[in-house]
Amino acid sequence: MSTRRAWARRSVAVAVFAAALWLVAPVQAEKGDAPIPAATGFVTDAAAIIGETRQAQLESYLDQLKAKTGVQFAVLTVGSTAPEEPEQYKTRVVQEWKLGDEKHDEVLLLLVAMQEHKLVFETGYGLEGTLTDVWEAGMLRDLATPRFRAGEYDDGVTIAVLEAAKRIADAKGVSVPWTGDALRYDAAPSRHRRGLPPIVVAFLLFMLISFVLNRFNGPRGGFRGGGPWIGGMGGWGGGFGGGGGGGGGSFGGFGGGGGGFSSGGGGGGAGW
Amino acid sequence: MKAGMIGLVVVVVLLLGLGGCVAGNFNQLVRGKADLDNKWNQVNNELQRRNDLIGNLVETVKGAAGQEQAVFGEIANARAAMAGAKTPQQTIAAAQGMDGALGRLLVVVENYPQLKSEEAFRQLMDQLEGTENRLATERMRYNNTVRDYNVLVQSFPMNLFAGMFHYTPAQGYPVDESKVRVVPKVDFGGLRTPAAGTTTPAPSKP
Repeated sequence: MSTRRAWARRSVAVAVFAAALWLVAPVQAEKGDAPIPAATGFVTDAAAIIGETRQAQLESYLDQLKAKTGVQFAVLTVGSTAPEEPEQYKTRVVQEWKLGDEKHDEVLLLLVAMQEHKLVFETGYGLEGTLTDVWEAGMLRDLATPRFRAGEYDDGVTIAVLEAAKRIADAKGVSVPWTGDALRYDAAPSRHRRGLPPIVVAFLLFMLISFVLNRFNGPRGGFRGGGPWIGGMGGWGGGFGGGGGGGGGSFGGFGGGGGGFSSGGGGGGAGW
Repeated sequence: MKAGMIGLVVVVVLLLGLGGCVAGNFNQLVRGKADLDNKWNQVNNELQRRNDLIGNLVETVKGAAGQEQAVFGEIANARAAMAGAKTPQQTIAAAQGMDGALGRLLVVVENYPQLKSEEAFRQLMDQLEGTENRLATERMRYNNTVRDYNVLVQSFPMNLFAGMFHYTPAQGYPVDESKVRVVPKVDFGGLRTPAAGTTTPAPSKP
């Protein structure tokens, strides 16, 4: 009798679990888009085509560019963007990484799609005047794709970064020299942040306490509210952990906050 | 007397509540519509920009492929339809006509290899490709806004107010992916030799 009841209870649990899976699954199955890697810094080399030293140098260089011009210039290499075209994928990357927002739209992304043999820029609204599609496509075709054809991927990425950065720096009237300095971030497991920031812990505790109080003190019907508080937590993004030549730091993600768009699919590209 | 006072207060409170409800819903409708118009304007800007670029492109292509009159006529008709479109629906229909005409123009271009090596043509194609990508993005954002707006307008109790103030559901901008992706696929591969890219030195290897 008791074993039968235990069995019944277990099968109910299994059924509930299966139902929960079924509820969750269609949402994810519909999203057949290629996943976007988490940003590990200014340079996210998911395709593993850039040497470790060069990546650290680019990291330092783009940090310098950000400090001098305010422009967030990110680089992403991926194996493939299928089933999307790189041109669609890149716009999603800027959104997902929160690279800038409506107010801060001087952002730039260089996407390298290895399988598609394509280099493309996604230009933030604020940079469309400085970096036109024609200039970007021409520069990539003339300088970057020949190096990609020759298999010199890190030189190809570097030249594209330097040329675009130089044009930005010129427009801002500053100079951003290539010093060869390296910048590495602490190798935390997630490469994002170690543990939760105190404010999040406090928030979670607060949620838990109010949930428990609601459960036991509140009117029948249980959990009420909780929703409105979540809304206010939108935009903690953190700045960049600094660190100069050869130094360390930790990359806190890009700092964009709100829901506005910083770019709209603009930017030139070239295949190799 | 006292009962009358209480009755009056109740009626006033109810009226105030109802008025606030109407005003709140109306403001929400206005904001939704403004957002929709804003997103449509973004789409329309890119369509206009594309229209201008196509005009320049036709001039460039005519130089090399002047005898291909049929496709030029088609483009001219599509541009005229774009210029004459008044509502978003007409504009979308005209733009879809343009998608087809432009696709055929680019097929024609494939037969003129020397054209593809011209700098002017290449720059126009870069611009056109960028514009197509921007258009695709803005179109997606417009369609998302249309979806949100229609949910807003059609859900209870908003549908009562929406009907009262003539806020009707909007129509999206459907995409024929097969047509759209035809456009930017002009292949410049092999036109440049690798040696062409040595004007700027690469940074020294560490």
